[in-house]
Amino acid sequence: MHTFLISPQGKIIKESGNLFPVDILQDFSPKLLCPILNSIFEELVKLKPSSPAIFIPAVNLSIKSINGYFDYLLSKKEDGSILWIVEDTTESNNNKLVRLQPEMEQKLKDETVQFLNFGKNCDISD
Amino acid sequence: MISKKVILTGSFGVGKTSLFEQFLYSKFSQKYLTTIGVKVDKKVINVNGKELSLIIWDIAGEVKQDKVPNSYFLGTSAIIYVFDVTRKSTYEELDQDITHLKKMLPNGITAIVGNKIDLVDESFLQELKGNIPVPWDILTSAKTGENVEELFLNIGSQLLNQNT
Repeated sequence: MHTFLISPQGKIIKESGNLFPVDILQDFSPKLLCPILNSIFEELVKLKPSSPAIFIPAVNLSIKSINGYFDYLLSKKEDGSILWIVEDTTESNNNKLVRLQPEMEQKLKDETVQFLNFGKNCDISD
Repeated sequence: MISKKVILTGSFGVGKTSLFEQFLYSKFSQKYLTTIGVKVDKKVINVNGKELSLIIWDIAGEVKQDKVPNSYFLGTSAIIYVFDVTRKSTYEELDQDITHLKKMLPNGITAIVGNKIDLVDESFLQELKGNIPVPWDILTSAKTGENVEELFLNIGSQLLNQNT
């Protein structure tokens, strides 16, 4: 797990955890480190401290040595800063992928074969 | 530079990731790989001399759109709803899905995209047009790249118009 406190301007005020190596944190601002955060940052700044935390599951992140899935929990503090909690969920999501891949592949194959068997000009309203 | 968040959504296997990869990296893979969660990347486009940064969220396919986590829609400016022209299951509930998405994004842009047109011919598409619950906005092929750039440029143009 890694926890960040980010200013409304997007700078790290405080961080703790072992998910992101120090060199990555030095090289990137949180917004650059994570395009997802960048794309919703304005909305986060607009949140009220009383607003419920925003949970963004299974973010697929690939930066330098970091490659995997992460759950984000984002909330606004009374002083206006943003609390960003990142949890590594790579293992459970990789397991999910291993489980889902053959199932979805088969479903897709079945539907495609069905389409090809009826020919390209089949009656699609049936 | 103006920056806008765009979501790619729709059922599984319709080609959302393929559209994402074709547009961002000009690449296509024949192999289907299911998407877990969300992957995000951005691309700067030029629309009529103006630069716009599109931050594109490629999200896991859901047969029903109300299963997509609400948090994924936070700060979204446009939704691209993708269906597979060869699979009825991916467009038969298009009207309910679009109603739900418009509720999630009342003032945003929603584009309906029929993908995989490289697999069908013109007469098939004519017939499909008469059977689909909601008309599509554009037809694409992530495989050949047909209309992929146009799709995102169209979205970009509408977003910039909304911004002025």
